Amino acid sequence: MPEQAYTFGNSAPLVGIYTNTTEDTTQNNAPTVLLLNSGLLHRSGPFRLHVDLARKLSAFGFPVFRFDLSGIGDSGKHHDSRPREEQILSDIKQAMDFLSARKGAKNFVAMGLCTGADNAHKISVRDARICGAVFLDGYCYPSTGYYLRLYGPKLLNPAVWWRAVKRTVPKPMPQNDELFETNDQREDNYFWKLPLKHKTKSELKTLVNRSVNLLYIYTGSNDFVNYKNQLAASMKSIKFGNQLQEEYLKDAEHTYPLIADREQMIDIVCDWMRAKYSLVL
Amino acid sequence: MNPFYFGNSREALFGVYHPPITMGIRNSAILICPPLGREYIRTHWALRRLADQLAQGGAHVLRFDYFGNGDSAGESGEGNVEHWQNDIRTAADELLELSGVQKISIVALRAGAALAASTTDLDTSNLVLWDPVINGRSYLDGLRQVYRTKLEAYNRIRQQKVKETPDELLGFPLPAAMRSSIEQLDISSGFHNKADSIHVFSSRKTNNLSQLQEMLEQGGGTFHGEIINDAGDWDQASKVGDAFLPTSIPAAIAKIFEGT
Repeated sequence: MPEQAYTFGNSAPLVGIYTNTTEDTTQNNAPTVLLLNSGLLHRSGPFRLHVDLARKLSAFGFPVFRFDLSGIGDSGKHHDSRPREEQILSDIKQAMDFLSARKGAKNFVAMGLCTGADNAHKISVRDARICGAVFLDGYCYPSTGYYLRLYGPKLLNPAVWWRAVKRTVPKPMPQNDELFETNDQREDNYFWKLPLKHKTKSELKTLVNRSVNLLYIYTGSNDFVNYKNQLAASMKSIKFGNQLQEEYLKDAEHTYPLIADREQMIDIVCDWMRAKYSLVL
Repeated sequence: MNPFYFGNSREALFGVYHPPITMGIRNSAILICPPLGREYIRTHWALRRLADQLAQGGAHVLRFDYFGNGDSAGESGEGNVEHWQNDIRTAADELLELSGVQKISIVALRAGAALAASTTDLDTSNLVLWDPVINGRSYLDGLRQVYRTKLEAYNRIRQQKVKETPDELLGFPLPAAMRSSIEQLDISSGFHNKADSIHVFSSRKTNNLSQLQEMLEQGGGTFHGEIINDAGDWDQASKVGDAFLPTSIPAAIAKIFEGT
């Protein structure tokens, strides 16, 4: 089995599993995929998702490193007072440093679900070695299309109109950032907050200018996404070109507890990796 | 702690060895047998903490993943009871070599407990069973009930409804061969594992404890059974995704090994 277990890191002992490519699939300069923890789940991921992903991607010629951030799974804790975000970004950097030294890795694709997507975004902005990122239920913001899908069916319903007429003046719709400043207070089970839209927009521009490829896969579990290509529609000033791919799996649950949904998502990720990074298709 | 792969390279098992941190109980070597499937994921952190605690007390501790589980080789739909019992023997041999002791102890949770108690050719010092699965068929029935409740919830918002199939259970494949082997697992009539001392901890009142006590005392072995109110909720659909953070039972387990 081409999997090896490692401990690495100079401040907290971190644990990771490297899934190597087989001889016939090895590609020079193929990026190494970093699979980041989802919430507090250890590196094998929800329903062993990371193990399945690692083995499938390695069969297509992409080495994969699934590892535990400090304080999660088998990794140790930092004993310093840095903010948690700094510790996490330092852990991911140390993983890249380790793989560069030990495996000769030069470029990386960061991938994660939920808090993993949050951390994938942050490290992509921070570290130029990231050439691609996969976000499972990552950031997204409302667009006109979002509101039309959300409120459209209600607007076509006469009963809704009648109730509206009977009511006093309705409250104004908050602007995007106002809405999400409110939603910022709403933390999901894994404790990450959606950043303000203007901040994300600026960071995505940076990533696009750096030629980073971006894959966003959303599930129907998000109440702030309701159609495919909503992110691009909410960020119209960014010229993503072919660097952005969005998928919306309406029926899928956030952690992919059903095998068919999980396999569909894995296929999308593998196809995207091959399209973006395989030298020979 | 030292993460590593061991056993047959084509079916390599992932393990984490926790060497003794203090001189306290250096003669103890403890193998931790985790649950299967979703329960394995839910209990990972608790078993890691228990291993740390036991190593802190001076024991050699080995945690490992069965074939087709966690970071070990094998797809999730592969493996069966016989294979996992073999894995326990392989892990026990590995721990004997790592620790240099003559005899190991086993701490096993849920399905891991049924596997450890039913594994032949294992000579252990202490066998600690934590919320043990007694009968494989009842165990699968309980999980199936949880899965049905979950599936109903998923289908309420899905456009394409999902039908229940016997080959999938709580996010993991359960092919016929695996299912059948688990259904045949039953430790109510006797253990194959020869242990000097058997301890059973249950997080809630259950008939299983008295049933096991009666059976094991008839066999003339040393048995200690105790109900300790702690985290569990194995058959509650609303709890299966929650973190498993027990405190009292791990403390009781650590106490067994104090001064051994």
